[in-house]
Amino acid sequence: MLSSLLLQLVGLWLLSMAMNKHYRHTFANALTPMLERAFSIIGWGLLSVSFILVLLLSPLPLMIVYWVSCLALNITLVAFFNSYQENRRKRCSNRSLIKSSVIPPLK
Amino acid sequence: MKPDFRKTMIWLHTYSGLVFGWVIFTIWVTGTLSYYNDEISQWMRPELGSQPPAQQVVNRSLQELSLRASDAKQWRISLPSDRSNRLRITWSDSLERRAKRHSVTLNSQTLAPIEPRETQGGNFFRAFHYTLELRNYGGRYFAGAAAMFMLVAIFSGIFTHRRFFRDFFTLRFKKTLKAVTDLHAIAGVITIPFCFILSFSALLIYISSYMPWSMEYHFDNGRRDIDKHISTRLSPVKPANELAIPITNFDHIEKTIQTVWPEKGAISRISYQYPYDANGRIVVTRQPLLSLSNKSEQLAINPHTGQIIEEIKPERVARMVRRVFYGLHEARFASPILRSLLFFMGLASTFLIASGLIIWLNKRLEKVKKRHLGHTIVERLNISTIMGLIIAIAGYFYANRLIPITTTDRSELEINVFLITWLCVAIYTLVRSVKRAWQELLLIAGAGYLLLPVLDFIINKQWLLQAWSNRNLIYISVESAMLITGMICLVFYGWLKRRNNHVK
Repeated sequence: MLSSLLLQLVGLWLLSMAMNKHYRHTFANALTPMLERAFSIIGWGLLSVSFILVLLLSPLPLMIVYWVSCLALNITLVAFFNSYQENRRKRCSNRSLIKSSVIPPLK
Repeated sequence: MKPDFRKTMIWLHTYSGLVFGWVIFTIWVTGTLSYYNDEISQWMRPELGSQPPAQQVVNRSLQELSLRASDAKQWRISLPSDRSNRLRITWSDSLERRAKRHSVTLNSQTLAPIEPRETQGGNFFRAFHYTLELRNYGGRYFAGAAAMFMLVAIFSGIFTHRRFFRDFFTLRFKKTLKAVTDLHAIAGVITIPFCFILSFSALLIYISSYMPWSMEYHFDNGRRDIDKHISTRLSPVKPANELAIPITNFDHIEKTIQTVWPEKGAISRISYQYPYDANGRIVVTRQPLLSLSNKSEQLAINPHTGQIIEEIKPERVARMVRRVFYGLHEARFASPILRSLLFFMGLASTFLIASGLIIWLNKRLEKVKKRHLGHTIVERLNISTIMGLIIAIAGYFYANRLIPITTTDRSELEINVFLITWLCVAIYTLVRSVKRAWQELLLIAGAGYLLLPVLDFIINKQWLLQAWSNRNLIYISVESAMLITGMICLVFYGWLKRRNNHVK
């Protein structure tokens, strides 16, 4: 059960990385079409595997409720994690801007 | 000119949310609390104690019943469970549904009778979320209309916030209103299935009240007749009027039940119908932990041989569909982890509704130069509903601890305190400026929730100490939840205070 939910979390994160905006904030460079496809395929693949894992457990209806409920929590976690990454990167770039604009010491 | 579909949806989303927003918020807060109905009830009846149930609890309860009610036509034992620590024995002189019942609550360890305080406990929130305390004044119809409006708001919201699906997982924290809008959208997305299931099932549960005409046309007694026709139940028991002594050592019967229901703690209730009659029977009810349906599984057992004699037959598909939606709404099947996930989604939905109301107002106030009466009404209603309900719930808990146990109609008094507290907050918001009202009410709520566990400890420290020594996580968790709520309110109070000072 736990492994299925972890796979779901990773799958969602990969799907978010398939979006240029989030990828740029996390890795500081633009997303290539090949990477985008790779992230999408692996992301959807992991989500599917996590759902299939849940289908193997019993009682099945309850497990589906579990999976859908965890989806809500995991989307929230990914959204907050991506926003944190974005803010962190912005802070870092601001700091480096300030450093580069510091007036050189007097001779 | 062709109407713009998206604009129409935005309009629909805005006003379907606004018109019933405050009622929906109230229903959602109290409904979310109902997920922990039993846990809240346990905290509100501290006299029940935190001790684990005794080994021979069924046999000893049966002894107690045979001593107290040998002439009764029905005995019933409601067993404690993982969520409830209440052991109750009940007997009645008839099997009729409305027959007068005698009930005694027992200490689950010593089986000594206990008189817990008279309270509705968490059940008040459950009843309130669909009756709004207007049971005889159309409360259920209001709740039904609110569910309908919620469904409209959910579907129109998908079109309104379509940007979020494009910019999935994006939260902008630079400006408060943008952050609230993004959080509103994310809460909306993650709770789409949850809100849909709950709103739709709410309509389905009371479908017979909302659309009674077909039933009344086809059946003489409307709903009652249709229930008789489509619900399956155990066949009625006919007494033989011959004396026979039933098995009162339940161990053997329990082993037989385990062959059908193998899980641990499977039984929630045991009934002896006509206990001293040759045709009497035992009916055991299963804990609803393995099925989404709200239909109680029951077994009929011969009280003289201990053999299973009957099971309830499955119902028709249409009935089962309603049962599953009912079950999903109540979530009695939920384990602690699933329950906490559902509670999280309930909180997210509550935030969704409250943030929607706040966004509506702030977006309009940003645009207009001169505010009109509608803005003021929405502004005051927002504060008095959001903060009023939070404080009223705290008031209800305070009433539970402070009203003397011997007071007559005590449970009604607790509910009155809840309603009066809410009214006081509503009046308070009318006489204070908006900024001050939010700030001060957050401070009151924060202090109120933080002091609740302290008050509990001052009144009787044994309740908490016993819970601690017996590892009663439920009692401790309820107190922790109060502390966390108090701290969240104080964090918001501090943030609002800093923000208001900065604006000055």
